[in-house]
Amino acid sequence: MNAYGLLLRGKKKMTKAEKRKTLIGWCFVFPAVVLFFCFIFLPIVISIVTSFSDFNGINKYAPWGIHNYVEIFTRDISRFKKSLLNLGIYVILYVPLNVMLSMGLALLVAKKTRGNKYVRMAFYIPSLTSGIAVASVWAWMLNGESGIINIALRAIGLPGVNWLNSPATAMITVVIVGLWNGCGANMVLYIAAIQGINSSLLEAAKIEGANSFKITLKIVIPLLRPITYFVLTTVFIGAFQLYDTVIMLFPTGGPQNSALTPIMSINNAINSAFLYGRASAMSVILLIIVSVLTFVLQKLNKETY
Amino acid sequence: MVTNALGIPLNKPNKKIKPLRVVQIVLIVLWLFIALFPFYWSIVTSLKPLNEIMEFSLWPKKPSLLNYKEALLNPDLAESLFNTVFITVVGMAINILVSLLAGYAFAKIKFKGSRVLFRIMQTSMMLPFAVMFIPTYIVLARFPLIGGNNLFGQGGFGFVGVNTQFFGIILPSCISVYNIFFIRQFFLTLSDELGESARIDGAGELRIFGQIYLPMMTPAVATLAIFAFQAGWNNYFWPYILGQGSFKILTIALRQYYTAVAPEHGVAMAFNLLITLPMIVFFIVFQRYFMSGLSAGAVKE
Repeated sequence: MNAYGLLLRGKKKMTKAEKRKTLIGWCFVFPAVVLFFCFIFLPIVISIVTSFSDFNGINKYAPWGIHNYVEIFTRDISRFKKSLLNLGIYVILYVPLNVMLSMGLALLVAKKTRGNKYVRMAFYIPSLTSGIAVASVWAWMLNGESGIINIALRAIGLPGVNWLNSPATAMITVVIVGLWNGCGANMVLYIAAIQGINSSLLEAAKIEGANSFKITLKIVIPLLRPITYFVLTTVFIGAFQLYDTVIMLFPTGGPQNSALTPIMSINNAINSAFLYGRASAMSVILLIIVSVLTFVLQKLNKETY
Repeated sequence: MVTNALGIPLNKPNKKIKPLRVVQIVLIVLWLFIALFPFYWSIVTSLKPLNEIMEFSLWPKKPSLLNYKEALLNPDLAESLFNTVFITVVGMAINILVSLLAGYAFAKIKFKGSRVLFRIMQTSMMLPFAVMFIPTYIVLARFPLIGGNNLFGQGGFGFVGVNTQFFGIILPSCISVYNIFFIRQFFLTLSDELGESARIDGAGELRIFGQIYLPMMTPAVATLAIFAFQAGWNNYFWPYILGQGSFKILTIALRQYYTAVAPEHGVAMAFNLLITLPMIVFFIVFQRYFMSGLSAGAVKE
């Protein structure tokens, strides 16, 4: 009996054909399983183990309980608490705005016409470029007094905003740049979903005398629920990786750390003092927050379905 | 004919333009402006000679290509370009192959253990990679028998040494549970009977995969290619962390313009446009498959 057979031996004996199938199946997933184990599963385990040790990159692992977790919060290592707060602001603003904007744009251009095809491509192009490239252009446009955006604001009689130097607006700047960069991709998902809606349903509503605004609101948007849930979750999880645009817009974390993100904070903990244990504890805290909130989202989605 | 966003005609054809349509067009034009203006502005900035950069004007008075010449003379350009192309293409190829094989097995071979395995992988989808960068670094640095390491991962640099960091950068990008999920969804939409009848005729699994199902996967593969190319080409965080900033790729070279003491905005914009262009060309080449790939894949629950 081969290793897989041994591993998976159940109460019922597998037939020869089933055994063959199982062996072939595992051969197909083998590369994925190896990579998954090395670069997803193992890192999670190491992260948890390291977070309970005083590992600093050189010494041997020595367990020291929840010391790292206590220190992060009592001594405020590399301003991690502040970075969590910033991330909270970002998530609250960015996630719902991204979902609404992506859906809105998709509803505008979902119809299959020649013109819309090109409009859609234009709408998607901001999503193609890297966070670094995007933020470099925006940093230039938002730059102090001479940036084009403040010039435009003043031209229409509004006061300029200190986009890159004010603690009050730092996260708003990040959200704006993020939305410009992040909506196109989700818009494409929404367009695909809208085009997949059974048109007879909409025809029926039209015969009943509903106008297009009402059809969109009462029929189309509710039907988009699965994809909305999908977009919501991926945008939410993606928000925790916030790094590239911020490091470009606010290289040192912004005035009074107002744009410091958790990833920057973790990286600082390592670069400044090789605090692997504490940095790992920070990662684990982030992982717990993501998992719990994603789980809550999942439950909410099921309950109200 | 007046229609709503979905292309359903709303009324008998008449000449009156609905106010809703006007609002739609205004919004489309508005977002076109928002989406494209930053590109326009970087092109304008890149064409401005040094003395015009800080002046405000919507187009260059004396357009010059000097900034582009300067950008092309960047001493790191050749090495950065080679490295970026290498990590993008190799990472993309392996990622697509791994995802195709695994996605196929999960959808079409109902083997023992597949459900549990898929569940485990699916659960990990909610863990953002960037959060795991420290342990990933440790795994790579302590990889057994690589870069001078012994069997227990001691003694050498593993995949983070100067000669091996290429692989250290590529390896984590070779696996994406999201892509496996996407491919699986796509295979699920293809009929099982095609494979079954080939199986009865005595075809091997690899042949069924390669000759029957793979040709139908063009839109899915094109969509994944766009995603993976984008991920590789735009990658910044991981190469930066792993190479401690010394590994040369295009995004890191771009950032160097801004960390310089006196940033040259015109040259930086020219460089920016030059490195963004291949991405846009790649997208335009593959985009006709893009939409059909998405509608069959990720959208279905």
